[in-house]
Amino acid sequence: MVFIMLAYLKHSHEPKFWCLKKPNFLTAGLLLLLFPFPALAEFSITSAEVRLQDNLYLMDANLDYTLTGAAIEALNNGVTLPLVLTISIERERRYWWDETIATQTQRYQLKFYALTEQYLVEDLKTERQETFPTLSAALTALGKLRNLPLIETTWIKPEGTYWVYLQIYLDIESLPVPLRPTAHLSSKWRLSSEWYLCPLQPIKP
Amino acid sequence: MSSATNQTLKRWASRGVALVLFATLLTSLWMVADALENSKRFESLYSTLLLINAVAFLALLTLIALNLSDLINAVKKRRAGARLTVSLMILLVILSTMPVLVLYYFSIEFLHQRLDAWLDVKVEQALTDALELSRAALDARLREALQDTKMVAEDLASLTDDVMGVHLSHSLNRNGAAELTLMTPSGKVLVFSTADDQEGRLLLLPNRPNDSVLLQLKQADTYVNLEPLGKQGLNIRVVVKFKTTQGNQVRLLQALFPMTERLSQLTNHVQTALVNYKQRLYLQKHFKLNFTLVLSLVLLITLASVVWMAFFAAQRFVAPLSNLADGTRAVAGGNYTKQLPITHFDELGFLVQSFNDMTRKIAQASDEVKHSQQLADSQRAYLEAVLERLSSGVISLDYEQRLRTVNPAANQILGLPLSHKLGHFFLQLQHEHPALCALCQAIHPYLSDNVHDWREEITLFGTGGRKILICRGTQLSFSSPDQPTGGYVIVFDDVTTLIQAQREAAWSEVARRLAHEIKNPLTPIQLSAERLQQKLLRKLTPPEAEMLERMTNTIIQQVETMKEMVNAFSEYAKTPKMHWQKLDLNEVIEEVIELYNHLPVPIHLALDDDIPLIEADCGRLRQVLHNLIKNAMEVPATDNFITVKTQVVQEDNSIELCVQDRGPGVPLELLDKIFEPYVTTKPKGTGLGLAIVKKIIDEHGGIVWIENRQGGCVIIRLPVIF
Repeated sequence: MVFIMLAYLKHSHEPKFWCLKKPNFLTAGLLLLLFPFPALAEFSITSAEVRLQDNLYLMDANLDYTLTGAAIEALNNGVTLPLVLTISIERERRYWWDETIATQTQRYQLKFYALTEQYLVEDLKTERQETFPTLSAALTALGKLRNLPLIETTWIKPEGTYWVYLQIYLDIESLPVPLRPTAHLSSKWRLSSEWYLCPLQPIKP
Repeated sequence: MSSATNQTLKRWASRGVALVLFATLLTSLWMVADALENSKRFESLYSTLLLINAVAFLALLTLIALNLSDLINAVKKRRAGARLTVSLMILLVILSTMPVLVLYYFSIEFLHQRLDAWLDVKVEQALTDALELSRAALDARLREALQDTKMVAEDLASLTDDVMGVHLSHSLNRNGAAELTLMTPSGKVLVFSTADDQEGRLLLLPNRPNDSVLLQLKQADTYVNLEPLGKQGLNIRVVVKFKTTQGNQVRLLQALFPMTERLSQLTNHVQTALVNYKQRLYLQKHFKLNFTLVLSLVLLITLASVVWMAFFAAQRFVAPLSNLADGTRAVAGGNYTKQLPITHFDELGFLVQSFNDMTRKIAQASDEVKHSQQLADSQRAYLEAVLERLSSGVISLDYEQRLRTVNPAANQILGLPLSHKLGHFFLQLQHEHPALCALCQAIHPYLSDNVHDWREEITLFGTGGRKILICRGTQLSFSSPDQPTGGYVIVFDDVTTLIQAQREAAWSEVARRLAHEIKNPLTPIQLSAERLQQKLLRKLTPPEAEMLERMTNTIIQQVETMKEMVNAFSEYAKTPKMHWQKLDLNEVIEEVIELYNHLPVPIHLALDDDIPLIEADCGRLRQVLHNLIKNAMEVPATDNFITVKTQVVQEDNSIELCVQDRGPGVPLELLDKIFEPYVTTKPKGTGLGLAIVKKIIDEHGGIVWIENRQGGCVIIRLPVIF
């Protein structure tokens, strides 16, 4: 039981469960009570890299959003799928837990536009909408992350060792209310990637 | 803090926790229902609320389990009221569960069967048709937009890139597009022209087509589609590929045509309605699952609450009865101060009130009994104290003549530890302690004849020597169920010294009177007789003189005898000071016998060599021996011989001395008073010999008596020194 809980927490939407910033213990508890077997990750992060441009660290990443049949069925029936990308920058500390320098969350909505039978991707931060004729085109566009501004160089100390943690997942708690219990209980709905680590090289003086 | 207060606190805490849980459950259930109604208020909390409900339900179950385990324990320990609580609980739970279960069954049935049938209306087709109709309506507008854009593209094809910007603005104004953009096939913007948006702001960035559109344009020359563009609403995006006449370069012209507000609104409504309907249709099974989940939660929580409330109600109902049962047990166990709290003012309250009255009265009665007991105890202690300090010995016997009480004075007077013999038959004690023989023999007739009051003078000889007791007995007249005929109280006083003192005083008085009244006249009588003899002897004739001499001599002789007699008596009455010393009785006997060896009567000695020492006055003991041996020698017998015997008597720890002759013994009628003065069997005896013997032996604390065994036998017992 404890193992399952740890596994869940490891795959939950926080950078590291031992940081205990906002652990989703309630959800974990519910899962433990009602659904005691581990989830299968359908999402993955293929690659990610950080580069420096004009005192700003930018990120390029290739994300693989592979939807399950259940999710596609729901999408085609008008259910909006909330997708989240969490990025956390942490500084390594030798004798203590790593320090979180910054965290940012990118929220997207994927929905089916019945009038023109297109798929619509909306960035909730910028409120920018894009339409795609096919689902795969939409997912490909979503998975191609380019020039995402991460952090300014002033926040990064030259002597430190920094890591960028990435995770993508389907945010069950933003699904329509009736779907949530099913989504929590079914592995078909627990779509989440492993945590992906990529180094962030500070500028040497 | 007392355990009762603790228990009350615990009970109230448990009720408080349960009430809070119940309230939390109700609130969260209401919030869940609200969230399910598509309300935005608690939507974000839905999962958490479900979890809270589940946890609260588990907590409620735990509470119930704890209560249940307590109850099972109580039943096992046969605690008062436990079985009644169980019966009541089962009844209450059955009564309240049945309707809830029926309601639950019908709700689920309605939700899964009836509701589906009710909602099974062909709406989807209608909505799809409406959407199709919207598309058809929009198609004309799409074609028109494509046509317009193509015309602009044809115009632009003949121009160079430099002047295209100006022409683009003109075209924008002419064909009603919101934005015209000229791009390379890779999507790079060359020129763009935009109209003010709906709020009058100028757009600074062109709305580029995405990669998939550009990809499509690699195979096709035109792209036209409706696209929702965020705040800009529904737009027609048209992209036309053309080649410039000068330079033969491929260019893309994108035009964005906003829909009229009315049309945009209508199509949006149709689209939203269809999407919502499809979504609802899709979510229907999930809705049902959720409703079932919530209904089941409500059912479980209701059942748990019902069970808990049944606990509460049963315990509340049974509590006074349990208290009564506990109270009854306490009273049975001897706690008469038990008072029960009256919590109900009904028949049960009346019962409790009656119980309290009853225990109060029992407690009062018990107090009175205790008080009487204390009174009796104090009286008993008082009596014991009096008895202990009494100089008279007191013995009480029960109706079976067993020894009940003995006071210390009785032990001291009898010289026996009778206190250790309580419960023994008194008359049987004489076998164990021969010293008690005289006492037992004396009182036995009174006890067997049930004489009510009696008085007796008893002489005992024991370790303390000879004792004269004045003994009084009374039959106790009380009777009770366990002592049917009462018993006896025997009180005795040691009057040895008193009697001796009285006797001595009496004899002294007699001696004084004899001396005064008899001895005094004797001298003048004697002198007168002598003088008569002297004066008349010479004047009388010889025969007369002889007669005178004979008579006066008789007078003088008799007076002399009388004088001797009076002297002897005063000697007896005198009580010279005793010279106590330790001595061996055998030695004294041998010394005295030595003086009589030359006499014709043989004396046989049978002395026990192992006799212990005694404490006595040697001279007076010699006198005793002289008197006894003289008496024995003077008995009228032809072959008289005297036996002197000593021996130890273990029973009363004394030395016995026997002086026996072979004479005729003492006549039976004189046996009782032979030791009194002037009682004698001898014709010439003074009658004081044995009286003096008795007096001296009395002074030594001994005892003397005479028996007839082949002659007279005087027996003396003297106490041994410890």
